[in-house]
Amino acid sequence: MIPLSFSLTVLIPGLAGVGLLFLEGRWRRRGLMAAAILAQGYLSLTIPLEASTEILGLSLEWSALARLFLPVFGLLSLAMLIQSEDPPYGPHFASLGLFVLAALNGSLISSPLLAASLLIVAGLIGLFFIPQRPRLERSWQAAHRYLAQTFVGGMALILGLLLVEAQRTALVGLPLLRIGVGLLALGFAMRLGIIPLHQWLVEMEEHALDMASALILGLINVATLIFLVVVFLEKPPAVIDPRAHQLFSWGGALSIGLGSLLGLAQSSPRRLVAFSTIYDLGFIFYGVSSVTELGWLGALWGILHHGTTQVLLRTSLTLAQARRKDPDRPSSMGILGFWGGGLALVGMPPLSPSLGRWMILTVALKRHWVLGSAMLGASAVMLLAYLRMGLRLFLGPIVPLGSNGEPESWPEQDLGQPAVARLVTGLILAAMLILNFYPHPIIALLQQAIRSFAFPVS
Amino acid sequence: MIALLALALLLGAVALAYMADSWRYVLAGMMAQYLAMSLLLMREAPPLFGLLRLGVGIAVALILYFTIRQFQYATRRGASVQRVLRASRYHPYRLATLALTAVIAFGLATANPFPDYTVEGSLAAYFLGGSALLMLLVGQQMLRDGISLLFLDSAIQFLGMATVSEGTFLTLIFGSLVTPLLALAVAFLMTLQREVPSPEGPNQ
Repeated sequence: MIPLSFSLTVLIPGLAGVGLLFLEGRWRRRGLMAAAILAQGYLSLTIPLEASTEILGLSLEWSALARLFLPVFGLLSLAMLIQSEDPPYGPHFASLGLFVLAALNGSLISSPLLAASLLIVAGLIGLFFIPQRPRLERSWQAAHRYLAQTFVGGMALILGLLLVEAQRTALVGLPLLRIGVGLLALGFAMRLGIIPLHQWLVEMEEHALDMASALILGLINVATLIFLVVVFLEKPPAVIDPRAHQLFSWGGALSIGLGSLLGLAQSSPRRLVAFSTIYDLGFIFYGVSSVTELGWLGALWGILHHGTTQVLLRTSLTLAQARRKDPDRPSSMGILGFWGGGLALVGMPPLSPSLGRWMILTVALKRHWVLGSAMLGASAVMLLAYLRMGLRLFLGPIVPLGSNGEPESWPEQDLGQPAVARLVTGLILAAMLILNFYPHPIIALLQQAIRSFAFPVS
Repeated sequence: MIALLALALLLGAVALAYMADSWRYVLAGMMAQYLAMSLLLMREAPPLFGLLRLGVGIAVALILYFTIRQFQYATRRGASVQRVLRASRYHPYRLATLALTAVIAFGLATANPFPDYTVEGSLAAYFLGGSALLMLLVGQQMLRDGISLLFLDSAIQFLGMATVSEGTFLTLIFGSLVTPLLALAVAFLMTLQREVPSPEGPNQ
């Protein structure tokens, strides 16, 4: 029974994706997607924690992280795929999205080496979302850069893992091991878009369609972040070289500082969202490399909200676009979503992402108070950027969403579905509010995940 | 002897893909690279692994071949397209950088052979990976970028196969999914490139 349940976590979204290729009618397609996500949620609750199995030589394991993220991935996919039903997303967007989901589900339950391959598979499928009409020229260039940077990053991850894995058999000398850790750092930075390897992320946010970049950053990047946590908690690079964690910490701090400053300098909302994503990734990187339970808890809490915040901000931008039809009527749900997502990112209550931000800030202030204060200052800068952009976007005259200072003509069909966007924004805001006041069950699950790893934490 | 022949074939294959002006030679170089790596892999791992890589290589070559044919057909019909391959200029410079990569790879392979691998196997992987990064840095054309990513994939997959035991053959199959998917992604971008206006004007 357990091997079947494990297989179904991958097969259900995969088969639903195949089904969508042939199914006509909006409500039928929505029904199939919802059924697949429900089945996935049911499986995540019924497979016992720490269960493991072997299928044709593949070792699979069910962890607390898989139990938590499988339904989250499902719900986020549903929210994104329903918003991408209309042109210009293309008829097969939802099918490809479900194939991505199948690969990511597989990465949650696999051994690290296979998980890395599945993340590359998901990233390659994600490439098909980026070049879309009507902005083909620039989105094509963004896709070209995305392919080169994230694929090289993925290969660096696999090579780094191979070298670190070989440590077990004592076949690798210290120089090669250090190269392995360096490759892991490079691979994660390239795939996630940590400064200074962030160019693909900014270009994609700027030129790809909203749900395309939400799917890549909200699902594929989140799965990569979970993989980062697993690699760190299973084989901490500090065991090989204590300076390795400093490398990750400073990489994270650099992304926080520069991400906030560059975010403030933007006049385009999409570019602001891109730099706030980099700023958020910096916090997660810093939390993971802190090797403290509070830091890891903050990082996992941040990862849990990273995808949700992506969808929230993107959906708010859809509502900002819808203002073009009726400029005199500000969208209250749009501004709530945009400010709610932005302020939660910088640690302002009462939405749940702020909890994770304060956990990491507490750790940072305890470890190096100067660096912690700088991170606090960077958060204040990002807060200012979001307040300013929200006012311009929803209460001022209509502004172009794309590149800085460039006029942009958006075709009418690119406006998305405002009713669905309002519903999704409302649901996400409500869930974040509830989770802020009642976080205990999720925190207990995350603590269980942290303690299931052998590496001792302080 | 076979290892030396395979290494020579690999060197020639990479040089062809890196320096040739015609897409036919570039594809031939890519295919020869898969053949050389399969021969080397058969020495380092069970022969089935080498055959699997060769099969994947044939699939990749077919995907790219048909994409380029389609591209050419559209070009003849008058579509405004960007060149897939720009004539590679500065041949001596390219030859020198390739030779430098080979020397660095030789040094690395003799000083730090990859765990579980012979010096020849390590040399092939270091050289192929280094050449892939070099091509990626130098090239600006979609096809050549795609080929360089395929070379990088080939080098890493080659290294991964020694650490994968026969019991986890399925892991290998899943890992090999990456290669045809990468070829499809490259083909997809090349197909769309027909519609992307080029700053250099239409194709020749």
